[in-house]
Amino acid sequence: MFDSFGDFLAMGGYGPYIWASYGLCFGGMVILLIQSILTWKKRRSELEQLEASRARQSTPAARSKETQ
Amino acid sequence: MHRFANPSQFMRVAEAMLPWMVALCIPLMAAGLYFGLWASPADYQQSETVRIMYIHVPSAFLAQGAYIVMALGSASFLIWKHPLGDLIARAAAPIGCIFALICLVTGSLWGKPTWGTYWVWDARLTSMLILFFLFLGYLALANAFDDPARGDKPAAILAVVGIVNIPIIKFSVYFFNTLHQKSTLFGDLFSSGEEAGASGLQQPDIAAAAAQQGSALPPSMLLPLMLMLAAFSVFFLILLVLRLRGELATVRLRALRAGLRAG
Repeated sequence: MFDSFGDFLAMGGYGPYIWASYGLCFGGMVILLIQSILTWKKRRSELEQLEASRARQSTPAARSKETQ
Repeated sequence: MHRFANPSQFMRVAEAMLPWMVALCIPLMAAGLYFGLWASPADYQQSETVRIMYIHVPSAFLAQGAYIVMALGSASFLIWKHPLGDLIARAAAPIGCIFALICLVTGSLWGKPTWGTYWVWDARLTSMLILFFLFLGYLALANAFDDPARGDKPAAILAVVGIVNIPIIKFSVYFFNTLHQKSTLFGDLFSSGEEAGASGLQQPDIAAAAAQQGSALPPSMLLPLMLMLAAFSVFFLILLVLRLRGELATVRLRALRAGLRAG
């Protein structure tokens, strides 16, 4: 327990070590989380695009077969 | 149980659990930070630097846990040719890699004020560094080929062979001379109470009592450590599901593109 917020930040003189540890740890975790979400979103939009273009390609072909 | 081996079935269950895991992770993490940074006492030897333990130990635990997940996934891929095993391994590898790095960095930042040095080439630190390199090696190998399916097998073999490193990390603090303190939670399994008391993580009077209870930590320090271990573990599962989703989409994309080229 700390007496003041200043004491809390100072961490008994070890502030730089402790805050650097926590900062790098949570920084790394947040980057990992964001990267994981962005990768999935990118792949999903690529998939949707590909499926949409496939549908566009296949529909006229299917129609022309029907008319024949 | 067999239907969970179907990737889309597996993902349906995993994604349904995702909001619950997030709802569990946030309060656990918040409570862990509150008790870890504010409401727990300073150590009598290490003073405030002991607070680094609450992220250092969980990240070491997760890095090794991620490696075990990666190796088991790879083994099931090699033995039963199950694609989900490879996808789980590919999803777990970057997570483990980052947590191994976090463990090494927080360990260095803890070592400087307590040991007087950022790094020593002893068994525990070196075997942890090797774990980090194994993750890097796996990622490099799995993504080395233009056709990613060709990287599956060599990477899986590396993951399975590399598992020998896990017990080395675990026992390195018992079999070799090291600056690294003994196991915080399971010290009693390998050493007597007196030795556990010498690990320097508690007040002397509490040490003997705590050691008898099976842990070298007093409850005020055990609580934030357990909260953080739980929070980190749930966070790992969330990341695993998110990355698995990305890996599955990548596989579908590849199959679709191959189909387009072939057609």
